[in-house]
Amino acid sequence: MAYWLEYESRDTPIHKGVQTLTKLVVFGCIGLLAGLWWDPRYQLLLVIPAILLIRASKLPLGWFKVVALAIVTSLYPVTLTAIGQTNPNLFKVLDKTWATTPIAVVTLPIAGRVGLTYGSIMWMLAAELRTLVVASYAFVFIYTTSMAELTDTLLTLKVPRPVIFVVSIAYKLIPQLQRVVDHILSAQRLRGWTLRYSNPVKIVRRAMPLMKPLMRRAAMLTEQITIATEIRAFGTGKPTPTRPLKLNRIDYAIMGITIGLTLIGLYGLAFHNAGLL
Amino acid sequence: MALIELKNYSFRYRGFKRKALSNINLEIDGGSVVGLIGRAGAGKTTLLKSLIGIIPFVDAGEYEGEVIVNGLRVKEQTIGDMARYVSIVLENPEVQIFSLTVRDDVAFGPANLGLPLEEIEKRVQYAIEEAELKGFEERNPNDLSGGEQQSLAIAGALAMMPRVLTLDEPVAMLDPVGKERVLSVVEHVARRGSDTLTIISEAGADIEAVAEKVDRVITLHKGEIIQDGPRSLFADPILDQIGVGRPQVSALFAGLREAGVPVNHIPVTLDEAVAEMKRLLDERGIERIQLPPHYGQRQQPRTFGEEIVRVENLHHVYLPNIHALKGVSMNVRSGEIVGIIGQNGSGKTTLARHLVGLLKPTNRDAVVQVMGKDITKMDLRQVIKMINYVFQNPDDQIFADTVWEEVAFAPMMMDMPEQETKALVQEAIEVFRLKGHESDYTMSLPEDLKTFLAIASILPLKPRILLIDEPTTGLDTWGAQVMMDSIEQLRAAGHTIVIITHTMKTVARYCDRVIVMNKGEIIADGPTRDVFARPEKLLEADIKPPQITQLGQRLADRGFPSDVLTVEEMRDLLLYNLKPGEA
Repeated sequence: MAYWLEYESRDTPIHKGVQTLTKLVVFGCIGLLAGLWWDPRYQLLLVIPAILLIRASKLPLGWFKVVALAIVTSLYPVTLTAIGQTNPNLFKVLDKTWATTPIAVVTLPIAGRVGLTYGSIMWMLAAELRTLVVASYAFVFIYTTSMAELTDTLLTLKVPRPVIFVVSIAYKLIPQLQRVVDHILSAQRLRGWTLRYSNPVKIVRRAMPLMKPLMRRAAMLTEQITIATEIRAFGTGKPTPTRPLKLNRIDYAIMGITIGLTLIGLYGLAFHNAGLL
Repeated sequence: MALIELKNYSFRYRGFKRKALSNINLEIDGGSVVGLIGRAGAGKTTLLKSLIGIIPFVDAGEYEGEVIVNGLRVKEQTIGDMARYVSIVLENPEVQIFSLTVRDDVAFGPANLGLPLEEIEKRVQYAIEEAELKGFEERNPNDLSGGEQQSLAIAGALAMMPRVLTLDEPVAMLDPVGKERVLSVVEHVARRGSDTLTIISEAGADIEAVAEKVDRVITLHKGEIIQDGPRSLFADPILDQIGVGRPQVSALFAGLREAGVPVNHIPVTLDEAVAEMKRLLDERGIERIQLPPHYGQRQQPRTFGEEIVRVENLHHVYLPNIHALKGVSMNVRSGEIVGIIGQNGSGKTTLARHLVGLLKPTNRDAVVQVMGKDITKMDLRQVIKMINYVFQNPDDQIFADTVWEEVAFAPMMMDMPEQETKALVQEAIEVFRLKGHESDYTMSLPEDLKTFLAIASILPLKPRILLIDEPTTGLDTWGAQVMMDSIEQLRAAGHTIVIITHTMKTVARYCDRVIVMNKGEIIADGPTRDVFARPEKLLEADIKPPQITQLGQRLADRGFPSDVLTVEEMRDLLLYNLKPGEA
């Protein structure tokens, strides 16, 4: 069973049928558009292929618990930013009157008019959808790409070896650390440990039984993995890619369509404000 | 010139007072298998790390003298340079595997050396064949058994074409058949006429398996070499004295010799023991041995109290579709010591996690009852006072600064009164022989004391049932003995114990009953003697009985019972036949 952010070898078209370079291109293009578009309706366009990829790669839906948590915890800063957006001049595409129609707006002495409008709600939705979109594509990429495939592709792309080394160690370390966290959490719960306070200082103090073993084990694991890679000469010379990049028709088709659509998206954004609010 | 030369070599880790290795002078030539023997902390791993340059390049410290491998002074090279000549296989195969398929993983090292693709392919073929992984090339390493994964780690090392292959306790985490597989790979590499030098380190738990394979023994104690010579040194009583222990057959024959039986030669392997035993019997004209009258009585299993754990039809499916437990039904009676054995991934730990409520059954009609209560519906804080579980790795739980604080943590979490906490902590510290260490900094404790501390820190909760995962892994023979004696003491104090282990010697000596798991099912459940008497059933779960039991089974045609569990039992049996007046 794969842990969160761990590759799992499965017989799916995304695992077996698509080259790592293709996945990197798709992920890069989607990331670019998701970062530039501020209209939640456009973000939704990116959600649809994400859902298809999640289904096709059989990605465990449990991975999204963390995204849900991230969205909930980001609500506070996102809302803080959104309530400042009551100025009609901020909106280039939406009807300014509609966009600034107040839902709950107050006028404060220094800050001026702050609160929620239809426009700021749209902005908030886009911000949260962006998290979901980027996480979805990143998850699919990680779940379907082994460390060897990623390393070979990065080598072919002439990415500097120290960068590849760091990426590879992280790729191996993160799931291992989750196993450790799982063990530590279980071990301490079996000694009666709970995180039962709401006072942040007490919570930090209470977290020590988790944090101390975790830090220690993380250091040990990092050292073990570093040693395990170094003793197999990783990062010491100029490596040979064992899977020379061999793109299939499907790879060319996916990359062509993705790059094409991205260029159209960028053109629309640059010249017609498509994707902006 | 020898392949490895250590000249007046000493090393002290930064921040430590004692030298890990002290004034080592050693020469080792190629083409042999060397056993590097010693208790935990004797300096074995330090020596192996020094050969490839992990010391001094990763683990810094005070380095004196010279370590020369293949004519190169290690401290003048880099790890990458040394990786061309020396490979090391670590205890845990998981951290050493990086790739999607077996083939890719073996190719990882040669590819990093920048070799041409044809050369990489040649090396991959060689290493896969040597590691007996032919046919596994396209398999995902995660789908391999523990023994196969460690063989893959060895294949990865072999593909570097090292002059020196070192293995740091390579079988400690494996089931018995996995151990055998890995050591047979090592033997295969060494015996094929190459000049590769293989060095295996061992702390004692698997001394029988290692003794079968090595040509030369180097024993370390407190950082110094105390023994260096041929394999027959495994029979030397000094191994008992330093806490490593000897192979069971060596201990048996040494005991017979002490009792006046004219033993020609103390065997160190099973084959040698069978031959020596036959010689002894033939000399006396004994065609078939006689069982002493009390032997049958000894076989009567002990009786225990009421059923305190009941599991019925327990299934657990990990998403997406890994069926880890398939309708498991078992029970535990009050006062028993039960051993759960089986290969890696057979479901042992999943079962244990259910018993303490960390996992819930994935079928509705499952029954998991402890002391008559359905624990699937109970709060964990209530469950842990009835039944508790100690994880294998003490580093997963130890966090407090001192031993006392660590043991006092659980009662503090459960809001126990201070006076009661004090008494309970004191008691736990005494049971696990931590007295005198109360104020010691937990992180500076040796591995054995850390393991004792992990279990001691659960005791103040007074759980009636204790589940302990691999209580003796990582411990040398002395540490394992102390651990199991403490567990016996807990049983005497009214606890019921369930241990999960790969060490069959421990099961044979201490467990009243054994549950054998294979692929999520229980395939055998009964008194230890009965279960170990059925080697063919055990083999289904990649288990082999201890060496002394195997000796009896190999001599079944001479009337030996197939259920002898300990060296002492076998010695009594033999003395009854060889020296009838004195038995």
